[in-house]
Order: sequence, then C-alpha cells, then structure tokens
Amino acid sequence: MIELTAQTIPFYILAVIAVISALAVVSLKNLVHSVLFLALFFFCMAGFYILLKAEFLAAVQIFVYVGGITVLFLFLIMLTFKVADKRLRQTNEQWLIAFVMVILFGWLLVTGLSETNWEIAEWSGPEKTIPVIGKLLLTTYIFPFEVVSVVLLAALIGAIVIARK
Amino acid sequence: MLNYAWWIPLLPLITFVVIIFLTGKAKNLSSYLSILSTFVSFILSCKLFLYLIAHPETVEMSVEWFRTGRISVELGMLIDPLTGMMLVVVTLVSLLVQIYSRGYMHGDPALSRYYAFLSLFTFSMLGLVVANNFVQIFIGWELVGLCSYTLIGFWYQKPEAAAAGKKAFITTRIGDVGFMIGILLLFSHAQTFNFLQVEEFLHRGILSPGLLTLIAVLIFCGAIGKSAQFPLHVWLPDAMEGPTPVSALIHAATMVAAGVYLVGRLFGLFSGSAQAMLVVAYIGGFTAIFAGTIAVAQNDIKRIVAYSTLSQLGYMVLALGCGGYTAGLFHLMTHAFFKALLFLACGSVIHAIHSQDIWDAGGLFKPMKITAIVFLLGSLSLAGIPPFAGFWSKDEILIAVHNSGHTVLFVASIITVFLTAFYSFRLWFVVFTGKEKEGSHAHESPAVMTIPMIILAILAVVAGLPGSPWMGGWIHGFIHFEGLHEMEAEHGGHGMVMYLSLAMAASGIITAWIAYKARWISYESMAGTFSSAHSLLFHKYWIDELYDLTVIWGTMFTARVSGLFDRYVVDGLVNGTAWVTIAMGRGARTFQTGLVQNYMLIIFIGILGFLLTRLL
Amino acid sequence: MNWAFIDWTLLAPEIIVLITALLIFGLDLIWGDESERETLGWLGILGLIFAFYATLALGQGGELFNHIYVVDSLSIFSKQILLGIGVLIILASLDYIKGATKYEGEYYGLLLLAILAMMLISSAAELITIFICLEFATLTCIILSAYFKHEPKSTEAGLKYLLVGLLSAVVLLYGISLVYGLTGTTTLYQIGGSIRKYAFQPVLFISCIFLAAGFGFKIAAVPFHTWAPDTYEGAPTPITAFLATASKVAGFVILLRFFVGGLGDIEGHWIGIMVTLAVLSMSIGNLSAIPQTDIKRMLAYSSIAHAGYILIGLAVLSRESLTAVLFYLLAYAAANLGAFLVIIAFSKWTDLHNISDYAGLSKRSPLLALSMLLALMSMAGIPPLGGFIGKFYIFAGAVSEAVSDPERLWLIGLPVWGVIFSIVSVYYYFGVIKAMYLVEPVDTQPIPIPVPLGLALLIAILLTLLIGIYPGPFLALSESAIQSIF
Repeated sequence: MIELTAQTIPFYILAVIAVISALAVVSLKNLVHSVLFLALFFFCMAGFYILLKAEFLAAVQIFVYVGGITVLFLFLIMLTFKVADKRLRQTNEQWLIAFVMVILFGWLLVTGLSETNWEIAEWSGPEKTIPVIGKLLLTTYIFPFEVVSVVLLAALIGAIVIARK
Repeated sequence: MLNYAWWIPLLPLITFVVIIFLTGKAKNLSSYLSILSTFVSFILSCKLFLYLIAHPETVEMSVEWFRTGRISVELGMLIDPLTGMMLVVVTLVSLLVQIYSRGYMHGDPALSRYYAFLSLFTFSMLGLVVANNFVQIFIGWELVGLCSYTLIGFWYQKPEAAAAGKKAFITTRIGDVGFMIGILLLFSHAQTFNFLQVEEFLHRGILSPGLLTLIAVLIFCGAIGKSAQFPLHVWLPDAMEGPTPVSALIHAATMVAAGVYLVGRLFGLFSGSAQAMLVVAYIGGFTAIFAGTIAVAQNDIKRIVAYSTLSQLGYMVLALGCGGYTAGLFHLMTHAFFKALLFLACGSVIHAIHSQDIWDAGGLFKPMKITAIVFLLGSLSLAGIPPFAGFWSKDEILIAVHNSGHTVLFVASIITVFLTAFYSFRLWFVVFTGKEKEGSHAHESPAVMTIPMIILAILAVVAGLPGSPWMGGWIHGFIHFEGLHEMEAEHGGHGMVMYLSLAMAASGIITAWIAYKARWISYESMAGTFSSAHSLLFHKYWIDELYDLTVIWGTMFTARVSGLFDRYVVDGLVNGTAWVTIAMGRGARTFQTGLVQNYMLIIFIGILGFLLTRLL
Repeated sequence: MNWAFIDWTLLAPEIIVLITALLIFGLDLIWGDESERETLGWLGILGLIFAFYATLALGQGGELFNHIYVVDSLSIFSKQILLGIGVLIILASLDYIKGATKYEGEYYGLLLLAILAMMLISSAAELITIFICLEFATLTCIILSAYFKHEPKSTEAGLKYLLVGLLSAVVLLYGISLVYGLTGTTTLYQIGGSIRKYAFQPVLFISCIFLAAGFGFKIAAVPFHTWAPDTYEGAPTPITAFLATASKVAGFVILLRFFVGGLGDIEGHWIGIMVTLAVLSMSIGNLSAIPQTDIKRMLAYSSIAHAGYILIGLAVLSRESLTAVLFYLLAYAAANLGAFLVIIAFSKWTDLHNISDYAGLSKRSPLLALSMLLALMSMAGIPPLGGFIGKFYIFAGAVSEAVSDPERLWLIGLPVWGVIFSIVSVYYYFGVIKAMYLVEPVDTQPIPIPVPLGLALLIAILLTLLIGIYPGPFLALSESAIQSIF
C-alpha cells in the first residue's frame, strides 16, 4: 500500500514530524515549548504545500502562521504572565475517553478515505501560481474575497470593544 | 366595487381589539368608539342594501384562508338580498341597543368590557351572516355562543347570571354537536365547504335522499339550539339574567336569529328533503304554541317577552318548514324591530321600578308616556294588528302554512295568534293601566334611552310595508328562493286566513282587556279554578325540572363516577408519567455540566456515533 | 468575467445594510455627545427598513458570479425574515443597551453586520463563500454575546460560543474539503449536477456527517447544541433573542440549500442523519427544559426542541413538508421574539431571570403577561396561534408522505414522537403561565414598557396571532420560497 517514490518519501518524513510536533504541542508542560513545536508543525504544513506545488500558499503559511501567529503567541506568553517557566497540566479526566475516540476516529477516517476512488487530477497548471491565484481572487472569487474584508472589519471592531477598558 | 363590504364586519372586530387592548380604562371613550364603529357599519350596510335593491344579484368575494392538501378553506362574503337585509337589521338593532345602553348601563364599572363584547357579538353575527362557507359560519356561530356566555353572565357576581350564562352556552352546544356532524358529513361527500359549490353538488343529485334528510336534520339541530326551539329552548328564558339591552340584542337581531337565518341560507338543502322540512315545520309549530301557552302564566316582565320570542321564532321556523321562505325571513326582520323595541321598553320599565315582576308595576302610563306608547305599538305589531309590521309578516306565514296543507299546524298557528295577542296585552294592561303602586317614584327614562325606542317604534309600524299590497308585495320579488314561486301566495286571494287571524288577535286583546283591565272576571279565581293547568304553565311544563332529573342528574352521576375513575386511575397514570418525565429531564440535564471540554466531547461522540452507524 | 453583466441591484439589500453599518461606525467616531447614541439605533432601523424595501424589488432574483451567490425566492424570503427580526431586536435594544455599555454605537453596527452575515448565508451557494459567511455570522454573534464584558456570565457565553464554534468550523471545513476533493468543484450548482456519480463513495457519507455537524451547530440541534444553553443564558437578552431566531433561520436556510438543493439527489445519505437529529433534539430539548429555573435557559432548550420539530420537515423531504419548514420558522421566530421581548422588558426593570420571579406578572403588567401567554401558547402549539398551525403542517406533511408511500411508513413515527413531546412541552411552558397568572406577586410594583420595545412586542404578538388566524398568505409565501430549491 505504501509506495516509496521521489514524491512520497519527503511526504512521509514531513508527516511524521508534523504528527510528532502536534502531539508535543498538546502534551508538553511548558507553554513556550508548546508554541515552538507549533511553529515546527506549521513549517511542516508549508512543506506539504510545496509538495503539492502550491508555493504561494507555502509562503503565506510561513509568513502568517510562523511569522505572525506563533510570534504573537510567544509575545503574549512572555508579556502577560510569568509562565515561561511555569509547568501546566495539559490533560484532564477526559483523556482516556478522548484517546479512545481519537483512535476510532482516525481509523474510520483512514478506512473511509482509502476506500474512496479519488479522481486523480493530472498536474497541468502553470508553473507560476501567483498570477493565477491573484486573478481568481479578483474575478471568480471576488465575492468571498470582499466578504472577508468585512469579516476582518467586524473582527477588528469586536476586538477593540472586547479588549479596551 | 363592493369591496367596502369587508368593513361591515371588520369594524366591530377592530373596535373589540382596540377596546380590549387600548381604551379599557377609558369607559366613555370605549362606548363612543363602539357606537361610532357600529354606526359606520350600519351606513355601509345601508349602502350595500340600496345597491342590492338596484341590482338584486348574488355576489361572492373570497380569499383563501388556508389550505391543507386538497382542502381549501376560504374567508369570504356571499352577498345577496338576504344578506343585505340581515346586515341592515343586525347593525341597526346593535347600534340602537348600544346607544340605549349608554343610559341603561350608566355607571357600570365594567362598561368597557360590556362594549367590547357587544362589538365582538356584532362582529360574530355579521361574520356569520356574510359567510360563504360552512367553516366561517360555524366559527361565527361559536363566537356568538361565546359572546352570549360572557354577556348573559355579564354580572357574574350574581350566581344566577353566571349559571344562566353557562346554561345558554352548554345548551346551545348540544345543538352544535349535531350541526358540526352535519357539516362534516356533508363535506365528506361534497368535498367543499363553499355554499354555492355545495348547492351545485346538491343539484347534481348524487346524494341519496336518506342521507340528505339526515344531514339536513343534523344541521337543523344547530338551529334548534341557537333559535331556542323545543326541546333546547330552556336556556332562553334564563338568559334574562343578563342586562336588558343584551336581551334585546340576543333576542331580536343576533343570536336567536342565527338559527332561522341558517335554515334560510341553506334552504336549498332543506327543501331537497320533504321529511326534513316536515321535521322543521313540526318543531317550529310546536314551539310556537307551546311557548305561547307558557307566556300566558308568567309574572316576570322579561320572561313573558322571552317566551313570546320563542313563540315567534317557532313561527319563523314553521314558515320555513312549510316552504314559506319569504314569509319566514320577512318575519325575522319585522320581529327583530318590534321585539328589540319591546325589550328596550321592558328595560325602561325595569329601570323605573327596579323590579321585573309585572305585579309590582301598574299605572305606569302617566309617568312614562313615551315608554307606554312605544310598548303599545310594539305589542300591536306583535299581536298582528294591521297595519303594523307584525301583521303583514305573520299573515304571510299563516298563508304559507295554510297552503302547505298541514291542518294541524294551521290550527296551532291560529291558536297561537290568540295567545300572542292575549299575553302581550295582559302585560300591557297590568303594567301601564290601573292604579299606580304606592311609594312608586317611576319616571320616564332619559332621552338616550327613549330615542332608540322611538326609532324602533317607527320601524315596528312601517317595516311591514314591503309585504303589504300597497307596495305590491315587493318583498316577494326581493327575497325569494328559486323554484319555490308556486308555493308563495298572492296576498289578496287569502282573505279568509287574514280575517281569521284578525279575529283571533282581536279576541285575544279583548279577553286580556276583560280579565285585566275591566276586571269583569277575576284572573285570580280563574287561576284558582284551573289551578293544575295554571301551575303546569307557570312552571313551564316542568321541562327544566324534567331535565334536572334526567339529563343533568344522569350527567352529574356519570361525571361523579368518571371523576372517581379519573382521580384514582387516570391521575395515577398521568402523575406517574409526569414523574417519569421530570426524572428523565433531570437526567438529561446532567449532560450540561458547564464545562466546555465536556461539550466538545459530546459533539465528537455525536459525530463518531453517526460515523459508526454509517460506515459499519 | 464580464463585469458589465453583473446585476448589482441583486445585492442592493446587502449593500444597504453594509453602508448603514459603516455609517454607524463612522458617526459613532465623530459624534461627541455620548447620550445621543440611541439615534444610531434608529439609523440602523431605517437602514434595515430600506433594505427590506429593496428585497421587495428583487422580483424573481437571479444568480451572481457563476452561481456563487444566488438570489432566489428562498433567500429573499429568508432575508425578509432576518431584516424583520433585526428591526425588532434593535427596537428592543434601544432601551436595554442604554447605559449598559460604553460602546453603544458599535453594538448597533455589529448587530447590523451580524444580520448582513446571515443574509449572505441565505444566498451563498459556493462552499468557500458558505464557510466564510458562516464564520462571519459566528464571529459577530460571539462578540455580541460577550458584549457585557464586565459580567462574567456574558464573557462565559462568548467564550463557550467561540470554542464550540471553532470546533464546529473545523469539522465543517473538513467536510467541505472532502466534498471538494470528491467532486473537484465548490459551487453547489455543479456539485448538485454531478453528485449522483459519487453516491457510493464512503467519503461522501463522512462529509455529509461533518457538514450536518457544522450546520447542526448553527441551528443548535442535539448533539451539537451544547453551547446554546450557556450562551443563551449569559448573552445580553436581545442578543439571545437574536441568536434564537435569526441564527436559527439562517442555519435552516443554509441546511435546506445545501442538503435539499445541493445534495438532493443522494438524499439517502443524509435523511438518516436528519431523523436522528430530529428525534434527539425533540427528546433532549424538551426533557432538559423541564427542570430549568432560569427562563432564558428554559427557552434555550425549547429552541433546541423546536429545531427538532423543524428537522422532521427535512427528514420527510416532500414539497408539503419543506413548505412547512419555512412556515414553522416564521411562526417560531414571531412567537420566540414575543417571549424574549417580554423577558427583555422584565429583566431590564427587575434584573431577575428566574421563572419564579415572574410570579404575579399579570398583576404587575397585564400587557406583558398577556404577550408572554400568547407567545408561550403559540410555542406549545395551542390553536389558534401560529405555532399550532406550524406544528400542524409539519406533522401533516409527515403523515401524508408516510401514508402515500408504503415504503416510508416508518416516517409516521416522527410526528407521533413530536406530538408526545409537544405535550411534554406544555408542562414547562405552563410553568411560566402558572407563575404569571396564579401566583401572587412578591413585589407589586408595576413594570413599565419602553415605547420602542412595546412597539416591537405588539408587532411580534400580532404576527403570531395573524399567522395562526390567517395562515393562507404566509403559507403561499413559504411555498413559493421553497420552489426555488425543491
């Protein structure tokens, strides 16, 4: 079932790192360590995008998630509490049932996905994806694109209202 | 073109809502609003009536109310000359009663409620009159019943009033059960509630005669209840516990008229079955003479008039049963005017002497000239003396009965003419002539009460003209039923009937004069001589007592037994179920812990559950 | 894409609402006097009324951007309800919000944006757009729920809504990506055309479940309802009313558009889900409502139960039953708003939320008590009110479908279950009525009704009555609305 080719080997390497770092995020007791593993996880995601020939997305992933969000997390943690060296319990009394469910869930998803006959698209797109994405966003998907701007406005105002004293 | 007609029933409804929700505290404003809206309705009705005189046609207007599957129920108006006449009568009587009530109910603390329900009552009756389908007429019918309950029991602090309201409601409901079964039975065959479509369906003659008779009789049950025909007449005299203007409204133009109107509206259905017509005729004829005899021996001024209402309604039903479509409905109109007049005049008397016993009154002619004169005019009209309104319509009825060939019914109706004249003049002579009672401070009622009476008195005199030869029996051309012309009669050719009825009426008046005015014979000794007969009549043939002993006792007994069953068996089950339900509710609540991680877990369990059931 | 062929007038209602919202934000900034913020609320009402007026001019509607955004009779119907709800909510908020927060202007602006988001949801017909609009709505609702940030309960309401909302968004997104992976397109129009091909792919089952879970969160159907009681209880009451009505309307419209309109060809995949959700929602919603002491919490559970009744209509999937779904939404929204408006008036004055606090309301404010009585009776399904007719149509639709198709006779179980739990619901609705009418008040002080709120209350109650007494036109409206997708 598992084929090892030039494309799949990097995928499996990235996948293993991604899963391990994700597990680390939810199990390490030091918050700063968790956040650092989160950054690693986001890097792996960017790697997947590159494997899928979506370089633009990969770049965005790194800019926004690694450069923006993770750093923001770090600032927050450093500035608000002195938690850099605090150790927090990451589990609660639900961990056993959650564990069982994750296993079941994963098993069902894997069987479901692998039993499906996916239509495999042949790569026929252009070498440069950025102009295409740009064009799509401003023509076909102009509407959701514009809606997003309103969403951001709402989020901004909401954040001000909730956060300001 | 006739779109304004919608406003005729709507205005009183709007008034009801406005009074209940907005102007409840402002008593005077409420009453003025109510009077104003009824007045506008009346003007619109007159406009419609004049239009119908010029164009006597049937107009149907409707909107779909709702639809479930193939059943469509409409809200609509069926406008024809009959509707037009009823609209004018209902709005006019209602208007005059409301004006009169300004005086009669002066100072009542619940005046707003009074006017609100008068408005609702008017609306219900108008909605019933204009209905173009069975559902709408049934709703109006039930609303009328509900309003009568609230108005008869208006002074609910008085136990008798509350009981009378309940009695009216329950008794008429008994008839309504038959009515409803009849409607549904008809619907199950005709597949429509619309009157015109039902009529068309009947024309096709698919319905078997037996079934037709059954449906007609069942629907007639509703009319028996509402128009207080024997054996469901018992509620009407008790309904006198309500305020007198309400009695006038219920007895003249609205509630009791509904039954007669129903038979008229569905005349196509009734005339299709000879047996049903026979039932209608005999019930009407019996009620007429039966109630007439009771009225002779009553002492309560309102009850006498109430029994006369029963008797007159019997006449109308009798006429319809004998094929006298025009006669019955014509009498409905004239009766509305003179009976409303008599009730309002009764109210005026009660207002003056604060008693309803005719023997507490006496010699009231001098202090209350207007009341006495209008009362006399009403009585003359009721007794059927020409040229008053009642004469023309009653004459039509007698001719219709005579033509139908039912000798028994004809004799009964002729005797009733005598009884009618006798009891109405007995009442008049006792109350208005003779010596004034000591300590009586009777005085004439205020103008707000007398003016409506005077208007009604004028109508009681002239409303019969459309049926008189001077107008060429115009009413026959206006309100008639297709295919029944041969049963209606020319006026002139029946002199015998006319003279006979005149002679009976005259002898009734003369007898009353002999017994109660001239006192040539003592009515006390008469009552003593025929004590058993008098007692029988005084106690209304013991019908109420009979019902008490049979139906009511039986119901109460069953109720007690089922009460015990209910308390120990059903309640046990119900309480048990409720207990289990509440316990389950407590159980369900335990999932709502307030911890958001539990919530997410529940969501995931839900998704997983679905996945497992779908994929395994 | 040729921009000249885009009929921008189809977006007129949305644009009007957006401009009004921006205007409110702008005016709020430059307006010096803090006490005049009420005017911004009236401005919002004006904008909503204008937008409502614009919906009337849409006629047959049309589609925009290659079926990404469709303006059909269903979305026009839904937008009209949403705009109507918006007007009533703002009317009710004018007095409630005054002095309760420093950010009055933003409140109205965000409320308008929330309405805008739900209007967008009812027209969105492309997976990405649907997702963005849903998140837009969730985001604005979260902010509004947590608006009283100094009250722990309000903050808790917002936080729980946020966390559970995130979870449901993730699940929904997963479902969407699976559908896209399978069909290679994101517009419902194209998905609907080709979905039959993929009927036997296991992934389709999975994505249907994920999508149902995502939308089930919006309509608060069991087991995706868990956020609702806490959020309803803690949020500012006008926002609770908004969540219980507008959010539910939008959720059901997108549910209809997605499953009935998009996946109608493979109904076997999702009817079972709807049946389960319906049965669970009716049972858990009604049973959990019984022991509640907080009136908002009680109504939260009752709204979950109502989602269950409405889901029967989707499970039956016939023209009649789907019409009934829309009709029920209308009747439910009117009655629910009526009840919440009474709560707003009552709690603003007394700051009490328990059912037992409503003791003797009939003596303190007969008008409020009467409105509450009518609203609750409508929700309990007592004739002749709107809720009765709604339940009647839902159940009648199920029965007639079950009777006409012997293979689907099992459907008869749904209305039976519904009737049983409607009877259960009478118990807790009458608990409130009993308190209002039969228990002597502890505090006899009369409760004043602010004029704008009274106006809103009058509209809601009259509508409840009108829908019950004269359902014809509302039914016709629902019927024409459903024709665009079924």
